Amino acid sequence: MTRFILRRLVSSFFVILIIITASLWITRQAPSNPCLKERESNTCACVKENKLDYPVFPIYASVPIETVKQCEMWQRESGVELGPVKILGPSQWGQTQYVNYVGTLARGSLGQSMKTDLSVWETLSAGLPYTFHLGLQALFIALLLGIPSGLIAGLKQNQIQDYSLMTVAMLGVSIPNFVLGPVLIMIFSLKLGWFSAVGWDSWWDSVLPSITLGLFYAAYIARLTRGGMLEVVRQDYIRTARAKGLSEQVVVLRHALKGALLPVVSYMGPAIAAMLTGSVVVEEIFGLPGVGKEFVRSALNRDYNVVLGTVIMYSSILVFLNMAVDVIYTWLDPRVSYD
Amino acid sequence: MSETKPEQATQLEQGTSLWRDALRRLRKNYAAMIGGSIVLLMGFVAMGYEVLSANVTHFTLEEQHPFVAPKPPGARSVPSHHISALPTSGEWAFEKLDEDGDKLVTEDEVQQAYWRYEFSLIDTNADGQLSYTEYEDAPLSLPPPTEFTTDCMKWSMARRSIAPIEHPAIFACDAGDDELMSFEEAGKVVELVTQGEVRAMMARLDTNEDGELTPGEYTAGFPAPRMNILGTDQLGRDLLTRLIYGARISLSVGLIATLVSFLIGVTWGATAGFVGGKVDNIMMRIVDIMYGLPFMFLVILLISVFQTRSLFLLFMALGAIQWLTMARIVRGQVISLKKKEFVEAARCIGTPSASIIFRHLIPNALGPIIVYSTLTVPAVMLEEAFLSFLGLGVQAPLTSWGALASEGRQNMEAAPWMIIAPGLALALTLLSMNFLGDGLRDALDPQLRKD
Repeated sequence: MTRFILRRLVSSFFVILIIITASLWITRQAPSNPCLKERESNTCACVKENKLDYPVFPIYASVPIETVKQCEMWQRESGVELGPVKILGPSQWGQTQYVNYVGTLARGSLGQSMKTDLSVWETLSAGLPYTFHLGLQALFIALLLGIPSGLIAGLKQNQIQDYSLMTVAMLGVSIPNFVLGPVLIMIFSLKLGWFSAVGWDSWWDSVLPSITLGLFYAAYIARLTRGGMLEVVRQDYIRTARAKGLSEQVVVLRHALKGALLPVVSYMGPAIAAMLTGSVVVEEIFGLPGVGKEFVRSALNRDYNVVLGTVIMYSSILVFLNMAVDVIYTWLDPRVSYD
Repeated sequence: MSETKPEQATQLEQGTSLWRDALRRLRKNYAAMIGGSIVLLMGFVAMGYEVLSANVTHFTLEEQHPFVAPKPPGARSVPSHHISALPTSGEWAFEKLDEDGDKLVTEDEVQQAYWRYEFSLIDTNADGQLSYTEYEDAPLSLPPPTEFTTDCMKWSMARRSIAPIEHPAIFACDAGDDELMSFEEAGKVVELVTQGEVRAMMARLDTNEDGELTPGEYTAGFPAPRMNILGTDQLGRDLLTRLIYGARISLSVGLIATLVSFLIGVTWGATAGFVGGKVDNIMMRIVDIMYGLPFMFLVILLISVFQTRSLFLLFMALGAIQWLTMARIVRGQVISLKKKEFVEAARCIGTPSASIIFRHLIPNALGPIIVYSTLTVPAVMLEEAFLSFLGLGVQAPLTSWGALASEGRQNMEAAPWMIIAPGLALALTLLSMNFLGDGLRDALDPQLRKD
């Protein structure tokens, strides 16, 4: 168990490193850069401040930014050119943007926003409470609606309860949240006036966004639970449990449910990843000041550090959540070994 | 005796193949059949944009009628591209239009003619008078109830707003107090063609540019107004036409990105499953790790940073994040198949590995692959719509259902039909595809069938 977790930790570290490298590479390949919209006099200062004039990677040493007028740019001192690949001398490796950024991360900081005076962490932590609140509430709705309806549909297979619940679930996985959100606003905010259409002032304002975000996953989890339930109720151990005279309630809740929830547990990782992505749209629709909205704005604004910070934070959360899911899975299903 | 034997032999040959059996099961699944028909229909609609635009909607994708916009479903605009001219006789004879008899038709006279025309359209019992029911049924661009006053004058000033009429106060304009409005009483209530549109039409027909039309110029023909069946958007573009064009983009993104994910996933999974051992372990570890990553964030990053909203990039990016499950499924299939005799036989006669994978293993694993591909199409369409909704998908002049929904959301309060129509189209198509995919799974893989 400890070995399993340690091994996963090591591989998680490399996964996050790969994500950092990939996203840094993507941003630095862009034809534009964060300093382009600055005024002529500020461009040079902006470039210098963010060290954008340095090469990106130690090996792949293309200078990503065009020379700015009257601005002394970094000059390559020595190195070898092999066609498109320019290899820097080891003395220059410490100066590259990549090493610089990883160094900042190693110091426990996400760096400085390239567009504002705030640090990346300050920018993100302003939105995090909203996004996490929204995500957790949506997850709660998804599990609370999804598991019982899947359970009922699985137990009453091919009966009216099954058909009606599964039709609703099918509808749920087919209605995109960016359609559901505006429709809910139109009905409950504009027509009935129960909720405010945009903004977040109290808990009441989080109800519609959470439903919008959670309903798809509720439907998906209902389908998964039903499938798991149907598979489990045919197993021998359920027949044994029934044969020894346990009450139906105990059979279902203590014996069958544990097995039926296995697909749901393994879906949790991708579901949380998708919920974080989905919150981008939901925050946009409901005008919530969350991280997702900030992410899209920064990406369009070319605030590279905020974008990278968001991607790194989300990836780390997800990598560790997936690890937790795997541990829970092995605990729930003794047939799976820690390998 | 000798004649019957061959007959028996042919009868024995006709066993039920897996595919025929699956087709039989699929036919029994009504939800899947209906879903499949709707998907097919959507496909034909998407392919037939040019034909439908010319013959059914009469508007083109880019054609703008911004004089009163957005218009509600059922309102009319005058097409400027696919023109079918009004007859120049009868109600539309030159003499009828030329009220002052100076052998020239002015802008005002043209507008009067269109008003009369619209009045005749909404006066369904053709008695020359408008009852409240007739008025209510007429889909026009008329003021919302809140702006209603009993004062007929003020009322006609608020005419440019867009919500349909719901209030009998309109009959304040009914001077005769008989709850029926004559054309004169209705006055300028009926506004089919705005001044701006009339001016645009006059400019087209008026070859000598004197602001008036001679009988010669007139015969070139005024266009007949056409109904915007689903209304128009904020620029006055016909929504149904845009929806049909959007189907083309949405469906083709769904299909092509699925094809990309299919190619990557099948190759990856088959290689891992066939080679096995360490290679398999490493390849599947990669899949496991990638499974829980926020790929959409990288796609958003990629598209927003590069600002190239090219369709090609979209296909690739969406296909590249959807192949993981496919790889897992194909690997599982290949592992169970590769120990079968026919594979060993192929190996014995020296068939190269690649050829065993692509000629022998994959065709035999086709069932689950098809099922999963069918279910990937709606997932990809959803992602495309998601990106388009954020403004990162297809770029104008192209449009997709997601992009239309995004436009609709911005005008949600004033023009709810703008989000309802693309939202319904998207939901209906996804629903149909999901039903079809589920049905195919039940039909092709009875063991997976949960009953």
